[in-house]
Amino acid sequence: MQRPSGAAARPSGDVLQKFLSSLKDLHVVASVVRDEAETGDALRGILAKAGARSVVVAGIPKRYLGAVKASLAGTDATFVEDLRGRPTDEAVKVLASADAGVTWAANGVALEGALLEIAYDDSARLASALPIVHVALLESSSILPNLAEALPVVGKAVGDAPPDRRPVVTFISGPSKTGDIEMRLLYGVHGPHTVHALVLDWS
Amino acid sequence: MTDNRQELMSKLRRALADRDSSEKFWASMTKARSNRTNLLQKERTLDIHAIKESNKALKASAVADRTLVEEFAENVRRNGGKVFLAKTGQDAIRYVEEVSKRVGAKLIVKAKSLTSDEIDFTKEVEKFGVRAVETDLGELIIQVAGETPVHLVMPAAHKSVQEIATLVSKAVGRDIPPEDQAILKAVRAYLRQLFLTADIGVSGANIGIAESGSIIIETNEGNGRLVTSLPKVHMVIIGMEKIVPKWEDATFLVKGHSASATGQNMTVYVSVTTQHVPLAGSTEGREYHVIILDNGRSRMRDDPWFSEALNCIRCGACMNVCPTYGVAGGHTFGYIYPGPIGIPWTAEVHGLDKATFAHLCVSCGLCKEICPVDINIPMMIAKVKEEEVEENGQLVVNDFFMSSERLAKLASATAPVSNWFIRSGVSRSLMQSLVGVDKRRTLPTFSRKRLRPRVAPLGAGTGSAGKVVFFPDVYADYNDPELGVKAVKVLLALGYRVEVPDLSWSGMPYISYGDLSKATAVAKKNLQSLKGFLDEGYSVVSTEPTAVYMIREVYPTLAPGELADKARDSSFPFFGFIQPKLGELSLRPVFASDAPVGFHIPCHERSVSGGKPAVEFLSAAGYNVQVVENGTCCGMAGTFGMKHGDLGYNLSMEVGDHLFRLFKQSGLKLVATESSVCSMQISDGVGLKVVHPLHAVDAGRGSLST
Repeated sequence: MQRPSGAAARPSGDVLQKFLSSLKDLHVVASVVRDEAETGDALRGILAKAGARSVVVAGIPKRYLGAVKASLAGTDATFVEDLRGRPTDEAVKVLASADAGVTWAANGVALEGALLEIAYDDSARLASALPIVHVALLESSSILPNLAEALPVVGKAVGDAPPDRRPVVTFISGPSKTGDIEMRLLYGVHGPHTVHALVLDWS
Repeated sequence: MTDNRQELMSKLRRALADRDSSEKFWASMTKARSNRTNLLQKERTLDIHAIKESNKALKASAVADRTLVEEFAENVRRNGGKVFLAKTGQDAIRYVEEVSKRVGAKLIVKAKSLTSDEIDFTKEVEKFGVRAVETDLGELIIQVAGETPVHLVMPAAHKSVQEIATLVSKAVGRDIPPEDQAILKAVRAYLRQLFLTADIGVSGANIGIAESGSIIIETNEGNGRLVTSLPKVHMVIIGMEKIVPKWEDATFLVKGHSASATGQNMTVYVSVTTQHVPLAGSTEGREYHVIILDNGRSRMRDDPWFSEALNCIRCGACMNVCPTYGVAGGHTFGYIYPGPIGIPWTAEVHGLDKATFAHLCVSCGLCKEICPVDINIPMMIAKVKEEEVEENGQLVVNDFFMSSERLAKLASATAPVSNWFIRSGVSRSLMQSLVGVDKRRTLPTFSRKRLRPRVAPLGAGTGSAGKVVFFPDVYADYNDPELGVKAVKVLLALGYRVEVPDLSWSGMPYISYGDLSKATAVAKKNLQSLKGFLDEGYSVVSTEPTAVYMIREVYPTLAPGELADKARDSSFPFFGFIQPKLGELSLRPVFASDAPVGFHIPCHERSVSGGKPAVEFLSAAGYNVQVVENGTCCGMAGTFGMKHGDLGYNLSMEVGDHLFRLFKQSGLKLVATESSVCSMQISDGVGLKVVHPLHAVDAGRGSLST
């Protein structure tokens, strides 16, 4: 999976702090993890607390696969990349019955508070759209200051891909929410009720 | 009366009678407004004025650019999608029918799309045997109820949890208790099954990006993501006006939309789609169609009065702030498109006969003030009113108030007899039955001696500080010329040369009641009278917020050109103008200053100064000023609240009641406001003494006292 990133350099602490505080305001549970062990523990903790028995995983880069795989022990985990070639109905069934989705965010957006998901296959998108719990992993160095700087990244990801392989890109700014019942803020009407962000700040 | 007007009046009567629904709906709009206000206060980097300016320029040039639609279409095709340019709604539906039949579709799941509502999508596709289900919770509720959206962003804002539970029970086929979580759970399970089995997903698009052929869809619920991924076929219905050239153009549209719609920094899911990507590696049967809808938009683009309506990004903020929409609701104040922006859209895409609800607009101007694209909605509404009146005739009472200046001249010349007439119950009953002026309204009295002879003995002043034309409008000339005298004295004391030329009134009722030719005539006449002064560097100052609003916001549209621009840039509300020199004045309170003084911000002052300079003036005189407001209009709206019946006094007082309650709770004894008409409304509604700030303060220079 291609992984465009708009920021190669490590962002300043301010950008990370703003990202974390924006996400907090948006009802996203965010934490920073510094190494493989912390990452595995954090993810394991989230999945255990959510009582997730079946998990779908999408787009995790090689460097972090070990940590993610370690945390999935004891769950029924499917990597969406492995669904390729299976009948679509079957693939959808796996995605729709998952208790949690663990996905990769190419970037974070600090000011507005968003996770940028770039998906070249809808199975990756559905991993963050269908389950009631969503955990997004992203690198601390990928956090962009604001939406204005993130849109060119989207433009590049779309423009650089071959015309028949353009990705679908989603800014995710919190759990699925509605205000349609007497304007009360309610979570989880279609998609995730809970969203976690694990900011990978490995040295 | 025409059938459409009769229908409007009976809907309005019902809306006014149903206080319970009206109260709830008003509370929703209040909440929506405060969500936006809270965000703007919290996010100091979110510069809504910059957003407005940028969006306005962007949308104006994008809408005018005839090459964008083709560029966008070309890129969609290049990415493997199919494009259909639909001239009309029927054409669009026919295309959906063709695709549905070809792929053997039985079920369509739909994301929220006003553009599809515009063409009555769900009902139309049912005609050829395809079931279409709305998946946004609000839209689903409305679909099951068989209604149209009451609000663009909150389509079911008028439904109680009990009603929603009943409707959801009907949809899912079992009893759901009226509890949030139970409803949510039932809806999730019910729609999930439909998402998984639907043949076609139909979405709208908030933005189209021409350079890549991508669309941006904003949803909070996430239903848009499922609609555009699970079904094999994804169809987009996009209004041709939504297309902008480049990626970076989207930033302020996205931000302006979420901030204005719901007070969010960003909508939860902002999805960028360029084609129907594979699902689990499979592209079999996966199709992507983009229907670009015209349906009257080309005509609107070429119409100088209505082209700006195409700049709308459907945030619904104009609905949240509109005072009469807040009382009447979107089924009375709306057709398929509700609210202020719904007026020009309805007139243009559904027909003038469906846009009779334009007469519910009271011309407060707040819709333009709040719009994140700075659309001149009030002027478009005035135009729709004019067209409707040309078709169906003017109301007697509107004609009466459009003659206010002539009547004021007459009443002033015949005072005090005219005042006796205005105060007499018998004549007020006559006025009510003959011309439709509500007898419950306290009308202002008239002064025989007008402003000009009163200020003549004061001299024109030295002009060491600058030169000013004082524009009294009707009130400070015919009703309360002493207010004009006080203003002139302050200006003289500050060292200004002051002229009070024989100007016409500002002409606001022509806008309110849709007589744009008369409005244009008065604008041109006043601008001509001001021309010589403006050329010599005079500023134009008024104590009446509406007068400044007309010169700044309305005259440049009615009489465009250098002169109007110069007048706009040289016109100031009285307190805004003197604010920099406030320190040079000696200010003493006229009334007891130990108790706080309430302050009301007139709508027409909001876009001009927000009322702050007047508050500072009162504070500088030693008052403890307490601004009492709910973020919208007091309901008087010029002469609107003087008109008899539902489309006047009754609606006016219903709007006003929300503000009256705040004033009553405040325990204040004295209220100050700059507007002569707001003053009548608050005084009638709350029974408090209401004065212009200049009447609450003794102002002079140094030891000089008035």
